Amino acid sequence: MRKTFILRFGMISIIALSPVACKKKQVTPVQKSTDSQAPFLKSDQWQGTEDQIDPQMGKIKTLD
Amino acid sequence: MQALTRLTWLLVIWTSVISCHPLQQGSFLKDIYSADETDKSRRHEANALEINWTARSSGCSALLLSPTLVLTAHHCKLKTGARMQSGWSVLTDGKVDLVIDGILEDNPTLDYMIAEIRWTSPMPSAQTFPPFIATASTDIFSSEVKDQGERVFTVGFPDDKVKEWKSTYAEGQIKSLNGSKMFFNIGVINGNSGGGVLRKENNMLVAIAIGGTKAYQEAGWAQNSVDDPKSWNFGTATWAIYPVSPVLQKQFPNGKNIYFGETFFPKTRVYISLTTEGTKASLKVAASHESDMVLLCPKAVYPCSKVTSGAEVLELEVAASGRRFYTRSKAMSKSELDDLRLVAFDKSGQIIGQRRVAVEAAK
Repeated sequence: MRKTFILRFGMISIIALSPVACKKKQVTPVQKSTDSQAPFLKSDQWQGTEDQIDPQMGKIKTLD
Repeated sequence: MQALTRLTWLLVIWTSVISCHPLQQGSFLKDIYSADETDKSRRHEANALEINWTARSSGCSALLLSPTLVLTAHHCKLKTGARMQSGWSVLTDGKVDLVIDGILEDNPTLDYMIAEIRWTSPMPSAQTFPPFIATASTDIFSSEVKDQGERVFTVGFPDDKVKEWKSTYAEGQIKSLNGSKMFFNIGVINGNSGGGVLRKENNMLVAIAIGGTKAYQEAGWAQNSVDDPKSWNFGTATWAIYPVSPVLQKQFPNGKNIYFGETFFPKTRVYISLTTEGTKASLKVAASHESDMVLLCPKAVYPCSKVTSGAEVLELEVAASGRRFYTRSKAMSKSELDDLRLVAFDKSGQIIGQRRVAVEAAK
């Protein structure tokens, strides 16, 4: 009878505490830096890894 | 009754463990850099194209240089007769398909090894090899400035992801150089050793992944800042290996892989900027630091050369951050924007990049 009680108590404790234990492992998201998305040539730091097309002109269509 | 109790206990423990470690992508498992958790393009399970940039050896990664040559780290201690598995075979749950036939070069100082390999089944058609190798430090751009430095990637089998993903793609930037060492903020850890580090822009082999400041599960191994020099990982730069490696010199004369013969591979991408000022449209172009000249080709000829009638040399505006920026002083006409043809050349006059695009008018 006592053994059954201990077993039941143990089970309930694990189930109750598992969300707490899991929560500790969560990672807080960090905001991504947007420095590399600076407009074309406005900063010498920009490396030019994307096209920069004025929306008034339209969009790029690849031909080759 | 006792057996039933034990079974229940096992079930409870198993459920708690699984709920804490979900084995799907986007799980709460730690990553090497915090940025790898918020930006999955930096580190993710290698896709069917990316996985062909690696091969698995016992506890290490490797890179195939040709159908018969493999490059890995000396400390992986591969011996003749050792078996390896191509990335494609790993992806498709295939069998071990590579055997090391002989060690050609083994260098403990630079921590690299090149071996001759043999396929035990037909080489997968998707298998890839680097078209170029960096033979001088000037082939790349490194910078300790935040968000700067050439983008590089590696594919391999890091210990923290080996049970979760078949293979891991990770990218970052080249941050600094010190002797034969290249420091980068690619999220690599034990198991990545021996994997090739390639320049993202043109798949040029620039280093082998060797080490970092922390081993897997050692205090501080995860959630580091990509901007913290103390947490940058490192590899051996290929320009340190090239002068002492007859195999690399033979396979990559002038830095180009003989496997591909005369096949054209671009060394630079050609990025464009089009902005409007009133009714005028102005053009700016960015290419890598290897570019020496960019031409705007006439409609009839593409690619064109400097002597082509109607070809226009764009003016070099500035060289900065590993890029060269070119501009055209004359405004672009609508018909020119309908078919823009650009060609980039290096100092020796070789074409290293080309691009042909149209601008679809805004609606």
